[in-house]
Amino acid sequence: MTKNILLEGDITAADTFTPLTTRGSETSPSLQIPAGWSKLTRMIVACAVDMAAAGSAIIILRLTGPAINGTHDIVIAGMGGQAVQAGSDAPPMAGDNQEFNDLDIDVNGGDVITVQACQTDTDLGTVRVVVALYGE
Amino acid sequence: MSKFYRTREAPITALDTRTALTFLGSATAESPSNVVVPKGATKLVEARASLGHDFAVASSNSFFFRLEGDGLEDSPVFGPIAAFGSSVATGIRRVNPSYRIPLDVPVIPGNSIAISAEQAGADGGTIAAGVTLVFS
Repeated sequence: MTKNILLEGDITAADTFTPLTTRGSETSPSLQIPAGWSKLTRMIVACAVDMAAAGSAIIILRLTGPAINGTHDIVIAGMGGQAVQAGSDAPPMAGDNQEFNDLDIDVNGGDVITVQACQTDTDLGTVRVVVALYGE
Repeated sequence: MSKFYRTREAPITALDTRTALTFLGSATAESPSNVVVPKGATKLVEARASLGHDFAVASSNSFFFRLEGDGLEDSPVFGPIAAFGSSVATGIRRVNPSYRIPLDVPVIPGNSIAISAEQAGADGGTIAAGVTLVFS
C-alpha cells in the first residue's frame, strides 16, 4: 500500500518562501510524517503560473521543519515570458508532473514537516504548486 | 548514505558572462554565497538545474553551469542546463521543469563550491537560473 503526504499552495510574492499548508478541500491537513518513516524516498511535484506579469523566475521547493535534519532546497522549475499581445490566444503554462525517484532524505517519523516554495527574482503572478512526498 | 540538497540562483542578464549564482530566494540579505559541502558528504552525485526565460528579445541561446572551488577534488565541472529560441518577442511563456544531471565528483566536507551560469549564443533578455547540488 502506498501512503503519501500531499500538500499544495500558492506563491504570490517574489523571493518569499511560502508554506504549502492546504490540500484542496482540506484547509489544515496534518503535516506529520508517518511514525514508521525514516526517510523520504520519492517526490512528485508540479507548478505553473498565471503570468500576470512579464519576467523570469526559478521555483525552489524547501523541505525543513522538526521532521527533517537540516534544510533541503531543490530547484523544481524555471518559468517566465512576456505579456501576450491583446486579442491573441494565450498559450497555456503547462507544468507537467516531475518525479524525483531517488530523493533519499532522512526524516524523523512522527514529527512535523514544513514544505515551502519560492519564486525568485520576479513576481510573475500567482504560482500554484502541488507536491506529493513518499517515504518508508 | 542519505542525500543533501543545496541550491543557489541568480538572474543572467548578459551574454558570455560568468554569472555567480549566490542567492537563495528571500535569503539574499544573508548572502548565502557559495555552497559549503555538508559534513559527512563524500560525493556530488547529481545536479538539478532549470531556467526561467523572459523571451524579451527574439533570439536563440544556450546555457550551462560551472562548478569551481576547494570543495571539489578536481575542478571545474560543467553541465548543460537548456537552450531556447524564439522568433518574436511578444507572448512567449514557458515552464521548464528542472532536469537531473548525473555526476560522480569527490568533494571535501567543509570547503566551498562556487556555482556560476552562462548564456551563450545571443542575448535573450533576463533569464533566472537555478542549480541544486545533491551530495551523498
